[in-house]
Amino acid sequence: MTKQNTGRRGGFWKGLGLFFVGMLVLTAVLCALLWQALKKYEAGTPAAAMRRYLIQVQQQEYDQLYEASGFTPTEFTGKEEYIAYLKRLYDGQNLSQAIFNQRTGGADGRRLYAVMANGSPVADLDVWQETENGPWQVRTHLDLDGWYEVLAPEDTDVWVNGVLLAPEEADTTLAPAYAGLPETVSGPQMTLYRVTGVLGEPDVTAESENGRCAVEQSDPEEGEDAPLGVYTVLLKPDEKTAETYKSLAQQAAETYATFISRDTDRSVMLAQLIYGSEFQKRVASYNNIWYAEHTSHEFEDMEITELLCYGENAFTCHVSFTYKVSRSGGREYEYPSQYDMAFLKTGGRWKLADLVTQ
Amino acid sequence: MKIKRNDQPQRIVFHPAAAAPVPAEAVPRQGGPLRILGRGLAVLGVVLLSLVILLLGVIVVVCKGPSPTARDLFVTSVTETSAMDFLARICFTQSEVDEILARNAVVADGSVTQLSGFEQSDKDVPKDTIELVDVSGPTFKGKMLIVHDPSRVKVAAAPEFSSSANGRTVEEFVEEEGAIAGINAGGFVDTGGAGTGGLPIGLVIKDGELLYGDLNSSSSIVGFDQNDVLVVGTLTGQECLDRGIRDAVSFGPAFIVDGQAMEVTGSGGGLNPRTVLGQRADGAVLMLVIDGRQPHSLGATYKDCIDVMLEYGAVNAGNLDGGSSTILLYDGEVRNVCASLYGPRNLPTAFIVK
Repeated sequence: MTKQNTGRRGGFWKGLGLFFVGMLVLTAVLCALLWQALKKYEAGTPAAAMRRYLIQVQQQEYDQLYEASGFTPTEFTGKEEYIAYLKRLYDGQNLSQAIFNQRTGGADGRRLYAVMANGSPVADLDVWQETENGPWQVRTHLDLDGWYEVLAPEDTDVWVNGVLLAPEEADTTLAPAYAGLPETVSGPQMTLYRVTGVLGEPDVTAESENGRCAVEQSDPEEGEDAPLGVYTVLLKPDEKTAETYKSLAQQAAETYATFISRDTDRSVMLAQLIYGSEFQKRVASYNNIWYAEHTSHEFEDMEITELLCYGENAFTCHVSFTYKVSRSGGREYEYPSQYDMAFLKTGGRWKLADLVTQ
Repeated sequence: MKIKRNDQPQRIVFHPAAAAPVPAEAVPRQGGPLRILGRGLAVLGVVLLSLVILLLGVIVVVCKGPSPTARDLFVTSVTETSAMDFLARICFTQSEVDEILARNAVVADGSVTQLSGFEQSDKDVPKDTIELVDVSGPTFKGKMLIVHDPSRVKVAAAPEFSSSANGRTVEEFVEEEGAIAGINAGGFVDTGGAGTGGLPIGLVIKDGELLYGDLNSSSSIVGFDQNDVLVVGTLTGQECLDRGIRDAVSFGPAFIVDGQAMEVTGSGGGLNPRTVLGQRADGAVLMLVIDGRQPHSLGATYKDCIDVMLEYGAVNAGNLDGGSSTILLYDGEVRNVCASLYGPRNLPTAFIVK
């Protein structure tokens, strides 16, 4: 009886112990199930899909990323440019700790996330599901809606990302420095290309028989239909031509300066200008009789830079110098001067089409 | 009765049915009250211990397991509640918690409402219209009260602000002010979830008068100016008065400023009950309450709230106090399910509709 009783008493505690062990086992099983459920849940989140995408980026699996993106190549952007664009965006970034900011602006049911690394935005990601409850797809957000303006002198071949631009599909426009010419005089024309479908900064190159080409990038004006960037092809003359142009520019600059100080006759000045141009009209109406009497004048530090040509019959340059005027009694005046000058060959003679003082 | 003897000392008990003392083993063992109590407590202790271990196990799996998304959601959810924020620190240090919170928030860009007027509404709705609509999302259910006349929405404030004073329930605010509707408004000191609603955080402006707060300290505010335009963003008390703010409380973050929704990083806050005040371009005021911490509605993240507000056309919107404070009273009835187990909380302020 005592044995039986001891067994029953021990049975309670044993049962309680077993219950506790059972609860521990149940806890372990539940935790394991929760672990699996969370694993599945995480795999189905946009964040996990983006993290997987960035791991592929870090492992430089660009071919796979390109194939998965569903990107439709444009005239200027193929696989090579696409991958180059990804590399420009992501190379050197610490993406292991990247965080994702959801932004407004996702289109067609797509979500738009900004990838932030070390507090700075790196790129935008498009995140979407092909089907409801399907896996999240990720690709780098591309902005192909904008356009770039490329301005080049006529008879210049221009390439964007290695693709030759067709002039027949472009507009022509007067070179900006010649806007003040009269209607009767034709100034140098430039070809204006409107380039779309370019991913990131375009690679603009040019060639011309009229000189060495350089491409200058400038900021576009702001506005709704403003280009993303403006590229101007500049033609630089060969050395011999450059010397000729410099000589012309120096002579014209000195004529203008001495005209202001009444050391050059108005008729001499006007003979160098294009009749009817805005600049010619300004000079013709300018009264220089008020300039003080003086004994001598001289030029110092004459420098001619930014020499650019527009075909064989037009060029522009920047001239800087110091104009010194001496009056009797030893008094001297100094005029540090900066001119932007535009020349045009008309009727077989070089004329000054415009001059803008800086 | 034959009693088997053994060498062990025998316990003798008095059994009511027996004429003489009998050995305890001979009596049917119903156990003494102490024994029953002891065993009951033992069972209860084991069950509780098992539940605690289970809870800890779940927290550890969520915090250290395979899902950073679930981890972030858990940490952001519990830290938004004064009474439960300790749960996040079971697995993380305070700096780790802070890091997680920073990665899951609304990205404030410092903007403040600049709009000064309303657009003409396309719909020909009488100005005194008030609509109550259901809203829902994957993890939440809630109510949206649309008040077409913004001049009817005002701040109601408790008569006294101090740590020893009690605030008012939204029901009391509505009753005292003779209002038709009300929602909870600004934040208050709520240490350990046991605040009395007597001490606001930030500032309180009512009828153009700064009732509480510092003229020179900045805080995120949600309020209306004299033109009934909802103003959200960070301002000092002096800036509020200079801008002609007529009614405002402190809370945030701002969700939408002048039509621009704020960016959200990570989960954008945890799943919790939410109260949000917004305004459409035509001036109609959007009063959103979302239930949370309940089986029918876990709650909403900040991103969910922004999406709901955008869906309803909000051009300005700001987050108000949420959690157990979230409540919407309209036409004499509480229209949501308050998350507080003890009933509606005492609060220092409410937005009411007169």
